[in-house]
Amino acid sequence: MATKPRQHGEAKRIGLIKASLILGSLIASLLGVRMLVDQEVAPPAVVAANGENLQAAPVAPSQVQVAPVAPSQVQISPVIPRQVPMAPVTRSRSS
Amino acid sequence: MNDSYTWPSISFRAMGSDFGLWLDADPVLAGGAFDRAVAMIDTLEKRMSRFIAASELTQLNESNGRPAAVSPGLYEVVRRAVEMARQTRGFFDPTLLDDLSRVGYDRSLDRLEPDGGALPAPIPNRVRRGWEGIDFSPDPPTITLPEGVRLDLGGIGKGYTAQVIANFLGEYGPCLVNAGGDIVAGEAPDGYAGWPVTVAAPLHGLDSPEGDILGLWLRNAALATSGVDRRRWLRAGQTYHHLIDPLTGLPASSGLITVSVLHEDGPHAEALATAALVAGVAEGIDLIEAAGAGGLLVTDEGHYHLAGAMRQDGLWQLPVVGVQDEDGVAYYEY
Repeated sequence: MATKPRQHGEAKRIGLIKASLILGSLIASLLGVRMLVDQEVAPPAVVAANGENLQAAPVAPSQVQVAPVAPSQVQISPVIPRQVPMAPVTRSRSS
Repeated sequence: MNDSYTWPSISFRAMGSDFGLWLDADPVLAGGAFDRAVAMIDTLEKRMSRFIAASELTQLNESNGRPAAVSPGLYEVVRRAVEMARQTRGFFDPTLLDDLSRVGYDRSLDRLEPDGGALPAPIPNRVRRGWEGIDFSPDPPTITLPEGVRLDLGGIGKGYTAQVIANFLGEYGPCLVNAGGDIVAGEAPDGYAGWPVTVAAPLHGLDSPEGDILGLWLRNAALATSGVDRRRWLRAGQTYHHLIDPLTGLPASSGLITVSVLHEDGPHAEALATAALVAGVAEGIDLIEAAGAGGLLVTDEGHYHLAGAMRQDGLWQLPVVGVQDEDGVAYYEY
């Protein structure tokens, strides 16, 4: 059975749409691969003259704890009280 | 003074003053430490007193310009006194014994007559800044006083004693020493930020809480007070006191009645307090702050000034003071 011209034109348009979809999909997948490749690029290896790989290992948090600076034993400024006393233990006065 | 505190303590008279010792330690251990401390204070008094005829200081004062062999302890305290004279630009002067005797303080205070009569004539060719000519030779310890120069270690001697005893008691535990109002604290007692101490207002005694000007927690530090409100006597109807102005040779009249100094070292605090009292408010604050110390200066009009470390928070703002006049200046009425 011979196809009608109208049916032929519609089939051609559908074919073009399919082709463009396939092409777009192909371009998108290529770009996606490229982006993945960009992400997975490793830093260049650092190789010593003897062939040893000197690539730095990932930096781990320091295990060395820096101790707080000990306060001076000499304290000439008044000490901030932890509690207000009921009364002094003694007094300074002229003598 | 406060029954709620349970630290072992002892109080007694020495060097013509009230002494108190506190030690945060087992009572038996503290008792033994106190016995040794009292013996040490007795030794120091016999070394530094100008009222004991056989004291080392009396012998040094009688050396008449000749080199005198002294104990390492006396050598040290005289050296410190001269160092403080230099540091305070001469406002503290340990060489004013002849001036002090001339205005009537020639024997211990409890032996002074109610009114000693007229003063003797002024000292001719009075030596000024006699401390500049004192010579020290460390090995063996020898001091040479210039002719006409005699020492009075009454004030700095108590600050020195408080420091020596605090160093000793500190070997046993947290401690506090009060040597006639000159206080030295060691480590803080268990559970406290420091030793709770106050500065008494002029004319108030050790047992008058209504007279406290301010308080602080004292730890590894010294708090000394010099004043003209005590050690006063009459001569020919006129009142004299024991803090001599090195420029005039007469009792100082600087407008200050007491000065309290907070410093890391006992003799330093005592000498600074005396120097500031003689110097007056402006120069006194300058001396205190230049030394990195703290100060409370009370004028004879009842105003008080805070200097250096005393300006910081951490002082008890005692309710009995903190009154302000119309200019916003805090003062204490006594």
